[in-house]
Amino acid sequence: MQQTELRPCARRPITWRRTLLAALCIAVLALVFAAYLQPAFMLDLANRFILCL
Amino acid sequence: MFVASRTPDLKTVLIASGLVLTLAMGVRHGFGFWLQPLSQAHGWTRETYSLALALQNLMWGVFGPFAGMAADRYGTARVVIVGAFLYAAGLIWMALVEQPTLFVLGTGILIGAALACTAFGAISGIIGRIAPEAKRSWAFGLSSAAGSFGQFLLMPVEQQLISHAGWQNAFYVLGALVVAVMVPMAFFLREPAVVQSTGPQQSILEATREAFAYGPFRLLLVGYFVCGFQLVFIGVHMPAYLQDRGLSDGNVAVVALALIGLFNIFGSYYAGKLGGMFPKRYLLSSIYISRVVVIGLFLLAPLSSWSVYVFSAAMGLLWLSTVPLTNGVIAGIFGVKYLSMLSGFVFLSHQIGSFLGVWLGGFLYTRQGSYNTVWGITMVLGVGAALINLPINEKAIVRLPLATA
Repeated sequence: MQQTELRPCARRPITWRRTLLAALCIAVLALVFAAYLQPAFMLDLANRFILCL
Repeated sequence: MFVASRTPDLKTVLIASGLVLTLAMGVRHGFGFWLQPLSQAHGWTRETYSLALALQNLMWGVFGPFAGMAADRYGTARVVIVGAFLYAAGLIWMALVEQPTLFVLGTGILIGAALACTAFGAISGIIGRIAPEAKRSWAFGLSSAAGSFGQFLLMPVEQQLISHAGWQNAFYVLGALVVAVMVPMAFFLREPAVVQSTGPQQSILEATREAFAYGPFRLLLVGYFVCGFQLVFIGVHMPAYLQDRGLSDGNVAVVALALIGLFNIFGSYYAGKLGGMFPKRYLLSSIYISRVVVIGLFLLAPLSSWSVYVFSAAMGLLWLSTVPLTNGVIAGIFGVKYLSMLSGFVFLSHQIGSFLGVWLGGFLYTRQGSYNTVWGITMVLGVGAALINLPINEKAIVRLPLATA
């Protein structure tokens, strides 16, 4: 009886942590990807590509 | 001071090595941003800076086996600390030196050696030793993903840094950041002497001889050569190819770069994870053949910004996914005692392939006025790499007991 009560409690923090970690990773990656799409950054990098051709 | 009293836990090693790899791989990835301001400030042609970066990549490969030997012999912590100071010295050198030959030599040697001490080769040893066998491939995947994340993250950061602080100060800031992060992290990578000496009772020379005499290791060397050739050819010559084919919008190349960086993180991680479930030789073979298919489809399909984006995302998934699998195969065959050194040898082959990929791309383009031949070579090499990975025997090498006279 005790075990069946403990199991969900023991798993919940891990799931929570994993979900939170996954959400955090996605947020960070989306933020960095957005930085690439900033007009100033795009212009700077695009200029460098053109210069190197 | 550099020997721990107890074995560090895997989570600590992964976090510390992940931060080291993020910075090591990330800082160098944005070096292209200094090409214009640095060349203008010193009145150099672009050739000087390009030569410095080419030498740096080659030196990274050349120093790899030696940094690996040092990491296996003296511990990863010491090597990372030396690498951090070399990295900072190299960045300060780049900021201050105005004489072209000195700039090229100093940048090439200092940063090349620093990368050998702080990137995948040197780090793979401790991960291999600390991670249990069942989790080793996953751990390699996670550390490769950290390096890929560094490349993805630091490009916009460095661009902002140069814009706001100036190109010279940007070098100083990065130098300080490298030391401030890598040196403390190195202390979490200390191993007890027992862990360091676990494994076969071989000398470095014996381990090197054994590896080079073993067929599967030579096949890995050839496979990794192809990996370097393909990636750097595509990375360097892609914008010029797009321009040639009439896609002259530089923004397409920027989004392509971002997509490669983003999908590279997932590709590295999941390749490592899959390596723990399936034979790594089949995964490596699939990666090489997938690259051939993706390149083939890209060349055959009508060129548009969307075809470039799909190609970049697919190539991103396959970009550094060979790293955890190759390190995993080496660890599986030879054990983990000399893993850093053996990874260093394989990486040297990768860097020679990279060098040839860039050079041959430019050389054949100048002669023929198109990239068709190099694309063809890239695909043929890919098929070859896919085939030679298939017969690799991943089982641990059987060592005969030393004969006593």
